[in-house]
Amino acid sequence: MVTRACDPGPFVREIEHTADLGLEVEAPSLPLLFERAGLGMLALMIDLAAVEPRERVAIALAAEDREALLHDWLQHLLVRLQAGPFAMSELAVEEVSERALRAWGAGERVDRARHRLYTEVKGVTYHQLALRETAGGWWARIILDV
Amino acid sequence: MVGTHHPRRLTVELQRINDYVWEIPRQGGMRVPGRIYASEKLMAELRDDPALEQVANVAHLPGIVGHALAMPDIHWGYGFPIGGVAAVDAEEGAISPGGIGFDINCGVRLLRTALVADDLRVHLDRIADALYQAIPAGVGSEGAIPKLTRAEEKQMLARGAAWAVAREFGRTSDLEATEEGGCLRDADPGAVSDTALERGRSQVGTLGSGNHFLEVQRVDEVYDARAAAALGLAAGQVTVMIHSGSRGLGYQVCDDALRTMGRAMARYGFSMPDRQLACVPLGSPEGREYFAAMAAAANFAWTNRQVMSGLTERAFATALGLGPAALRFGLVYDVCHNIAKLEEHAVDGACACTARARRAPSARAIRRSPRISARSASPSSSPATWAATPSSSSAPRAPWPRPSARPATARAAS
Repeated sequence: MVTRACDPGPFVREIEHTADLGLEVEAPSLPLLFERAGLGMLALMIDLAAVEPRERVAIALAAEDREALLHDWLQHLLVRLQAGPFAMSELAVEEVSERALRAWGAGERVDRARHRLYTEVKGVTYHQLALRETAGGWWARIILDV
Repeated sequence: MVGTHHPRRLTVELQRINDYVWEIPRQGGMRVPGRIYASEKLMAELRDDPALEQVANVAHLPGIVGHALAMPDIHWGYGFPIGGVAAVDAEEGAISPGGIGFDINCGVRLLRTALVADDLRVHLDRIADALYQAIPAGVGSEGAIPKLTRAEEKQMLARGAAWAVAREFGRTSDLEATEEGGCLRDADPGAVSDTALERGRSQVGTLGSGNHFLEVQRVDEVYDARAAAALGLAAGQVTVMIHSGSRGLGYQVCDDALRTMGRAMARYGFSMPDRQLACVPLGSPEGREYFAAMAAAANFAWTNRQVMSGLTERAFATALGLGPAALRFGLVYDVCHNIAKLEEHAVDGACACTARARRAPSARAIRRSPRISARSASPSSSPATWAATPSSSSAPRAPWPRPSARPATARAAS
């Protein structure tokens, strides 16, 4: 499965937070939750509608548990966007277990002339980070430092 | 598509000490009480805010001394509350990178000029254009000055703001008006990861995005003429306020340490109620390495604001065709938040819990030891009556519903 920025959304819902930015995300499956959370966060920083999936990058991550994996996944996408700067408008999580993830993302280098930039997320925090299985699938809460 | 889960809200027990001081008594794993400085009105707004629970969480830090403190700007942050302050013992205490925050030494400085606001009004657009051109802003902004070599970057991280002054960004007197003279001596560029170094190389002199701003302001009213004169300020004068931090380099230093400490803390027998407060002993290899890297990131931030000061002066010079003697730029003060520092404080062990504003002079003789204090604070939002703001504050936001009625302090938080 692939989640594209142009798929019907919204992928995440912003929750009230005084100083920073909280997101909630739900999905019927764990890979889909990771994809929605990733695109939801990236869309805070850049208008993904103008990001073409020209180049595909492979992503493999390992962490000590599932919540840390979600944190590391988002942090990875964030650093790629800020340091590349490479934005992704398609994400596909091919495999996600308790401690490891294999995925790919497609996008392009940020071009300030073409891409509309929004706010800067400084980091993905562990504060109140939650990832749970629910009756309808999976639910997560993430607080971002903005 | 999203359910109704809400962040956990605990009822925090609160005792009123006096009109402006409140205490959270020790409970559970708290090692010290919490102490909040707030009026009754402020406290009424805080009752249901997770910030109070965050004060209690900070009180769990191993080696914390006195109280987990919160200043009147307290509000919900991550790890520490915004406005949180804690001191830990330099030998036995824990250091928590998540408590200090991603944007290490995010801070605010105020520049004075010899310009009068009323004379400048017609030139505002030209000044704004020149500022936009000189100081890159926005996500991943870079290129204010030529990309540094790795060796240049390491020198800069060791020297702090003086590195910028040596390159003619501002003047030596600016360093005297900068907290710590713009340099933490404990910085070790060797403790900064390659990824962090790479993220910082092209970002010196850039503003960033989010709540960061550069604002041309005017002194509206003087309340204390003597103090204003001492600071070189007078009514109607043009000032410039800059709010920025350590950019991608600092964010990466924090993230690197969060990862390391999240794995290491169990080895030291530490456990915290909030994962964001992962910590290790200050004296441990991981603690020392983070402290040295954090100090380097703090020096990056001071350099960054110093370079932006110089670029601001040049932008004004270009826009107005005036030289340094006519502009008379100078730094009023630069103060940072999101930092940990080694400081010496007198602590009267027997009276530590009362934390009276006035300590017994003899307490100094009882115990003097270096301490680490970590701050997470927000500058008050600027009350500019007119402003050229080359920051992203007017940038469009992502197109989904946002919670309404946020407090005005939100954009000023770090």
